Amino acid sequence: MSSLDAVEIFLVEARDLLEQIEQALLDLNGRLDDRDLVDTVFRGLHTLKGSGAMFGFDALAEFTHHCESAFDRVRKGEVAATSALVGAILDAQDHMRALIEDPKGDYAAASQRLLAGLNAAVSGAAPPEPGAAPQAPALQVWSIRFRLPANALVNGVNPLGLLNELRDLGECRIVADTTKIPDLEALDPTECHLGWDVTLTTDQPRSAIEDVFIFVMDDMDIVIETLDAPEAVAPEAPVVATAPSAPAAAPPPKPAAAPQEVPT
Amino acid sequence: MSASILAVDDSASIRVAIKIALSGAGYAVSEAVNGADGVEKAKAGSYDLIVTDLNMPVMDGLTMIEELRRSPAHMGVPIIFLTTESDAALKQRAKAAGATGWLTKPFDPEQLVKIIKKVLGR
Repeated sequence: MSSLDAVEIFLVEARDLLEQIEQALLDLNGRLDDRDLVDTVFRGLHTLKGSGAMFGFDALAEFTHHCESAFDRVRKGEVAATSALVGAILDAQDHMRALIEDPKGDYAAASQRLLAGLNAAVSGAAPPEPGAAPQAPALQVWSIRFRLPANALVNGVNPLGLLNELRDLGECRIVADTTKIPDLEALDPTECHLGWDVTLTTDQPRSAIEDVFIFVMDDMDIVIETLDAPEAVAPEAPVVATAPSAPAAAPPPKPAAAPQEVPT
Repeated sequence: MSASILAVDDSASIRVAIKIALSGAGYAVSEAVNGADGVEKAKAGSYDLIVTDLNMPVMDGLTMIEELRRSPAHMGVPIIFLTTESDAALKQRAKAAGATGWLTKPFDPEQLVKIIKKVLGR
């Protein structure tokens, strides 16, 4: 692929992104408290900024960065989404289109004027009312039982990295399932014979758990289920059966003859 | 020591974009201009991760991945492919060839770094 092709691909995607942003802004104007729409606008602006910078559209990247920052504040609940703010970004979005279609034009004055309007809209947007503020999501306990594809290790998947990502989501209790480890004579050291049973307490949504497994989700065995509220977690609850001791392709934290807990 | 990454792409601009993004995040980046060059450089050096395009002259990315996976030294080395086609069929072909993950072009440099950190397990 030539660099010209890459820029053309960027232009096509940038135009699509602008359309998506515009539609989300128009919808948002009618439903100012719709957090999904706020996220959609933010993600669109974020991608446009990053891709623009990558393909040399520096003026676009710099200008979009300001709009993205403003919407990041809405996303974080620091300022409310208002019609004035949505209108300011809609105005800015037309300007972004010009920065894409004719990046060499002189847009300094227009950029300054639009950013002043954006700043005024952000300043005028009061913090969300307490009742409308995003509530801290409640903690939820999840049971995540998974077994990676046999060729996961050969294909560069790091099970410990996946477990660490789950740990980053909240408090984890991790138990290795060693029941499928074959006898030594039958063991293929390049295959992943372990499974894991994770009890995760987190305020993150299910999608955050699924994101951990994004590259292997389609090929693996995984069951993600909600359990009771955090206080109902039984710390001693057995999760997997004891297995005969045998070397494992994916090393657990300690030699395994029984389920192992990895508290965090 | 920073992780060492091989960037395989026939587009110089994409290689530069990858190099800028990853060098800024502290990775050491080497370049290869197509799949055959990628196989040669991967076998001659030692890389913690490979980022590759799929559509390249001389040898495409799928063939390069298959060839590297046949080499015991390159089993387990994470390989991320960049693609402009986000369809499931291509992802499946690349995964079947032995790829670890993917990123759709044009990519956000922050996204690339995030995915590499994810795949390397930090």
